[in-house]
Amino acid sequence: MMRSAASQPRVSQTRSNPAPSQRVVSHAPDYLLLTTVIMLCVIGLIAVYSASYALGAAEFKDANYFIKKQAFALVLGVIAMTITTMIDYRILMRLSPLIMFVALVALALVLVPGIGREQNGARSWIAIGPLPPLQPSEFAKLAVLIYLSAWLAAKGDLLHDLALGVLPFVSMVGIVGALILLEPDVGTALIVAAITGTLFFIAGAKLMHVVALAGSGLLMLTLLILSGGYRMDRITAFTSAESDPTGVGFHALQLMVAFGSGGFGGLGLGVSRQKFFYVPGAHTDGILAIIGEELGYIGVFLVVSLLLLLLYRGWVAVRDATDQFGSLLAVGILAWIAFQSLVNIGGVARLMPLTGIPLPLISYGGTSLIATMGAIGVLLSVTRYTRTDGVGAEAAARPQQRRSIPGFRRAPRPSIGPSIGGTR
Amino acid sequence: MLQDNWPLVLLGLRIGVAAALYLFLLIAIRALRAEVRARTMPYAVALPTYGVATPSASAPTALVEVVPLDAPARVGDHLEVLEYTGEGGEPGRLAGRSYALRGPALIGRNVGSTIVLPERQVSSRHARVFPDRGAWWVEDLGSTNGTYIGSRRVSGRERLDPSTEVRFGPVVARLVRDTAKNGAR
Repeated sequence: MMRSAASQPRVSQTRSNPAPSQRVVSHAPDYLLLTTVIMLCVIGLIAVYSASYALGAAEFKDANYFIKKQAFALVLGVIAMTITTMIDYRILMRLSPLIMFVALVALALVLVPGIGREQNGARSWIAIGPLPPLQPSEFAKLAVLIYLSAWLAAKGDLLHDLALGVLPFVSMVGIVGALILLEPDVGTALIVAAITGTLFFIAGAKLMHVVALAGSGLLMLTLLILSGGYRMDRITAFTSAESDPTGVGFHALQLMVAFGSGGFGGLGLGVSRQKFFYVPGAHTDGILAIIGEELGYIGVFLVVSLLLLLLYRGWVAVRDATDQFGSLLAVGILAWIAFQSLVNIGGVARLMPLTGIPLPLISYGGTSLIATMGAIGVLLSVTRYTRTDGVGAEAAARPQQRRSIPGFRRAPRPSIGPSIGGTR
Repeated sequence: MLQDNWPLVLLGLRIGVAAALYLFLLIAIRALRAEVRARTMPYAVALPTYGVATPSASAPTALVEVVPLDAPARVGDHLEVLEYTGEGGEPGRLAGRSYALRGPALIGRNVGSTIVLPERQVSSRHARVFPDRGAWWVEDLGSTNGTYIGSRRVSGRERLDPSTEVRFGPVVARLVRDTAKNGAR
């Protein structure tokens, strides 16, 4: 027997809540996840600089206009991520009504003329005093998924009940969705619907209810497309861009030109031609096309692989989380990143109609970056409380001795005897 | 023929790829659902509690604690995993572990279980061990590879004795009763 002289796992007396049922060993966060996120942010910053300097110079007489703002947002994002990583995510369960309330107030304030600021046809910005304007709808995504995770985790099998489970869910999502639709920001409302719908299904709602909700959602979406002129144009651009290459199909075709001119290896960093006002939103929604032109297939492959790695590590967190609230939080954050990436990349690659959804962590957009990084911090906090008692290959693959980062509590050595670091 | 309809074929292919992507997403979400649902089962809250507990039916909230064998004192009853043959003929990696029994315990491969046995041949919800009338009982929950007492397969509930070995799939364990109730080995 190769029994190590391991000691009793030290149970952390969580500073915030020493309730006996809440004691779970905390350890270092998932460093692979953290590394992936940092790499995506760095790639994003470089890509935003490359894609935005032409527009910055032309419109603001400053080639560095966009990169300065994005770098500032990245600093705030890192701070947000550090804070959310370090707090115990289970505190969010009790704070969730407050978080939701603040988000609803902010979403309502946006609609008030004078406080909300209109840009690109949508009143989605809020500017308080000298602070840089923010988009509350981005933070609302995080607030909704925290609130719903707490609600669903507490609900249990009551979820099957139409009056106690389905109706409250629909009205909660409906209120948030309606506030965002009023801006109007259909893309963000769709993402919120996708995140919440996924959470609802995963928490164990009845299949019939989920199908009915998804069906009515699709019906509403179809009506929306048929009503608004530019939304129908997006569909036309998707199905037959070639029939109107300078009008409706311009956007979709210029994206194709960017990918085509990049080819396999790319033209080289900074050499894109399409960013000179050919690809609309080159630094925002269309940034992947510019990466594709400058770094080629290899660059796009790298970005997509990193996003997939992020999702995989998130899945590990879902699997190893010790409570359902943590699992659901991780699911919600995963759904957010997955749906936005899928819709953005699908649109840029002409697999789906264009929607104007930014690519998480890569696209230009301060609020989006800060909110996403804050959410990933929550995910990292969930990874600090995962099981380490040899469940799955995960715990065995973790190194025995972890280096500690100042500020994070040191990981106690998993002490369940011979299995860890053993044969596997 | 194909050349004439090339744009249409291309559109069909594009929609096909998009549909495949969404299908993949749907499958992933379904898998996640099973993963998360595992946590809503009874006894899913497997957090340590301390203090001596005697096996009694009136302790439904009692939970489990993982204790290494060389811990200074062991209090209460335990389920101790003995030497057994694991995957590929290797020695089982759970051998030597000891799980304190504090009340009804769900045994399975799932992380939601009270006692997690991460071996492939253990079912996700394998068996249940619970106290009744001063004794410990085991009940199989429809596991694939069965629960055995000695060489007899358990059907229904059966009494656990310190003298006989109990086997969950490949994992062989034995009940250790704390007769002294004072922590002595």
